[in-house]
Amino acid sequence: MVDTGLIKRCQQGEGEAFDELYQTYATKALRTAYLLVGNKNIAEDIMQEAFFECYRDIKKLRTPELFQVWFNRLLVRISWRMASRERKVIYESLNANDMERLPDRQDVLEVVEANQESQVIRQAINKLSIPLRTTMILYYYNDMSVKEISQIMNCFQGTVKSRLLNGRKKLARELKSKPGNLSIRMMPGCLKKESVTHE
Amino acid sequence: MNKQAQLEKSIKAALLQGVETLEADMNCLKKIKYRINTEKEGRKERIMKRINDHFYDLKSKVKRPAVLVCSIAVAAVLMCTFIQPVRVLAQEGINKIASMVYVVVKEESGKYEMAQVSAEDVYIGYCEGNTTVLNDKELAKEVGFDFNAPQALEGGYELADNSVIQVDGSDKKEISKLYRKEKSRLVLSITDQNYLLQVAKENGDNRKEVQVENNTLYYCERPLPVYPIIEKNGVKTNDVTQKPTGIKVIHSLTWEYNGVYYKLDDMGDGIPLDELKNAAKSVISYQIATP
Repeated sequence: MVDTGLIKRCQQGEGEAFDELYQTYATKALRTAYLLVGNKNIAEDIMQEAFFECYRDIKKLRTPELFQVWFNRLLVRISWRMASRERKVIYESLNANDMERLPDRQDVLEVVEANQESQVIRQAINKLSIPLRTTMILYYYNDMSVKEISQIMNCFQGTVKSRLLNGRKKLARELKSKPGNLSIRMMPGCLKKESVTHE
Repeated sequence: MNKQAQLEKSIKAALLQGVETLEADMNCLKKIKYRINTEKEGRKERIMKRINDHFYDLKSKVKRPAVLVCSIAVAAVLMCTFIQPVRVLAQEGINKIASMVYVVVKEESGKYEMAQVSAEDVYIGYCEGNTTVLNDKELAKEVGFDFNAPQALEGGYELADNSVIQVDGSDKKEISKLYRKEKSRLVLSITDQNYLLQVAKENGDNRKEVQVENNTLYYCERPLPVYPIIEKNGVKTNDVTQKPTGIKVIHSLTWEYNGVYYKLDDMGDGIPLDELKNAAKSVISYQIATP
């Protein structure tokens, strides 16, 4: 739930309100950016840029209730922009097979890869196209509705639904190709359209 | 739990697990704030550069900056002096009392825009305008120099009022004569200081030279912010701390004759250049005919 009072205080240029806004949304923004681009340093740059643009343009936000949609749109667009600029780096980061050879050994993924199933799912998501990956992340990580995602990505709700369906299809195909794993690879009913729940 | 729900749960769990150790730290906030402040300073610098380019770079070229920068302030004062003919109107040294003031800057697109800047960053001149019933001979004695100005201008403009402008920081006075034709106004400013010519030659926008009666006249345009007027201690004052209600563009012709500087402007009434030229021509003809 968005604290509209906080957003209004930010719009009035209150410095402390912006600090509070940062504390409330920064970690989620950083994590979303990281899921989108797969590199911690770039994710931090994206998050900083998003908050900078947020500070600069928040007065233009007419409906404070829509802050999350508005902010995530900023975040996603910056991520796409930086992803295209840093494609090579991101490609390397997302390629889990090469991870041990990456110079950034502090990379979070290396630390937290304990669960094989989760790792395989994340690798599969990372291989999705940018629109599909973005849709999957906004829906499954950010818990945004189809309508909100359509606003963020500036597309029809039907497009979001089909991207979710395609994303899951590709995910299942990818998971199937992994030898010896996982329980979900055997799920024939997992690609039904009605599995879209939080609209 | 059915299989599709299980898949969705697994996706959620995988995404959460992938980022659960990531936390945004406060150093990032410091970096963001630093950038915000840097951008603000950069914007301020850009605005100040435009202000300096536009209005005030004469400060470095001329000995009497207080007089020169008041070229704009005088125009603002005149707008009200003639509206309130019996009142004194002044543009006070607002910088002593206000922290932020509004100025007009020219954007890169060429459009005039208002900008709010710190009063410490701009020189706000003080000048005072008084309408007067003195005739030209008495006025010449009052200001300390002789001048020639007709009672009417070509195009049907009749002399409506005279005013004496005193600029703070200067012992010199400037004469302004208001000519009217219905709702159109022309103001003839007269001074023995050369700042009028310098503004026209070096600071105005769309500058060009115009030949009238074998004299070179300097045409230029300048923005004039229309500040709200407040009354303070019985004196009407332009309140530069309030956002201007609009921006007028003054069109003017400036020239020198016998060591005295004349500027004819339309006070932002949008009078065509040809009409302005004809009016200036009638002043020059009068000057030539009246030694």
